[in-house]
Amino acid sequence: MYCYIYDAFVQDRKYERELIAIEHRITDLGLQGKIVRLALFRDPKDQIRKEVEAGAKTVVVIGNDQTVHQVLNTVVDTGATLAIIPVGEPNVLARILGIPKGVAACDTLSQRIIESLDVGNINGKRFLTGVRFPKAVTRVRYGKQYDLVSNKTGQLEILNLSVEAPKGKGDIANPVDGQLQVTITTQKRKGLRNVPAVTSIPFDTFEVLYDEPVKALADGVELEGEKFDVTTEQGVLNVVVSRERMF
Amino acid sequence: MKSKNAGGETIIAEGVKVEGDFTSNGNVVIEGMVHGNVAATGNVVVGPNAVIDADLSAQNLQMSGQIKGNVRVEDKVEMAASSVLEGDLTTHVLSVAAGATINGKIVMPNGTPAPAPAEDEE
Repeated sequence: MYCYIYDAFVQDRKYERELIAIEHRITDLGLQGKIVRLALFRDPKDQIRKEVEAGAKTVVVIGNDQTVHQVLNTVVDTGATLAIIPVGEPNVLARILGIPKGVAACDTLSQRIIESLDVGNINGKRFLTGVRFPKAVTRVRYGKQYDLVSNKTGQLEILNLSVEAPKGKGDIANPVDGQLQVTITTQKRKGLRNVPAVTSIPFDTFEVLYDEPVKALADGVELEGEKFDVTTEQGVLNVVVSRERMF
Repeated sequence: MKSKNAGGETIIAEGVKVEGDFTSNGNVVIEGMVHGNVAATGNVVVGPNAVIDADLSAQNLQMSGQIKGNVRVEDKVEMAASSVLEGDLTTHVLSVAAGATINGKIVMPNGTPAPAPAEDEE
């Protein structure tokens, strides 16, 4: 049984035709289910929980990356499978999972290829793609063993998949290895130019520390602080993918 | 754009310093600074601008930077001309380029003894 989550923005008239085509294809494939429409200032958590308790095994997001981020916590907590029918932009996650845009995604849904992905957790908030911090002196603390300290040009990224639209498979982190990839990009001199130098280490649990509060983006959503506790939850998110997935 | 390393390789680039004892279950490339011991189960590359201020152990070592500490390598050490080692070195196979500096004791356990020089036939 399916539970369809329609983001508020897809109810705009410009998506009307696309939605009708999607609904027809869902009916043709026999994938009908309950529809939950998101609205501004309304937390979808309780509705999703209710549908999963009523027997929904798959929560299908009709929307973009932000829609997925809104439901991620609840989907992981309920143990349901996540699927995406990408409508609107940005839809980087769907692209990484190999899900085509719009109505074609219904066929991917019907094929039900499921992967169990790792999910990151930063200060109690889950993220699926990654976290990007601003350039600053950055300290990454790996337990009591060691600290990694960057100079002021350091820009930290924590990758579970990718923090921006990937160009190819080489730009995607491995989301099924139980670890997050920590990268710190600094600048080094090469002749007369500054070129990027990338530090790269896989971690599962670590802390990120700054001298003063910074604003980071986790799955495109802002969070602020000077100390961030980061953990990995291995294989906790079941998600529908296609054979064209990028990992 | 950065990606995860497929082989799980760890890279410490220029502009980053490690404070503490660094361990890795794979290969490590060090281009930055390390103030603490380095222990890797795989191969370690110490780049030309790298500075390591403690002991290092690895399977193989390719070195062109500075190490101030004792080095213990299971298989082979290759030292480029720019290498500076201030400490003792234990390895089975050693290759040193002209210009490299070693200020310490070199121990090669189980190393193949060099053939004795041929005696004059007279």
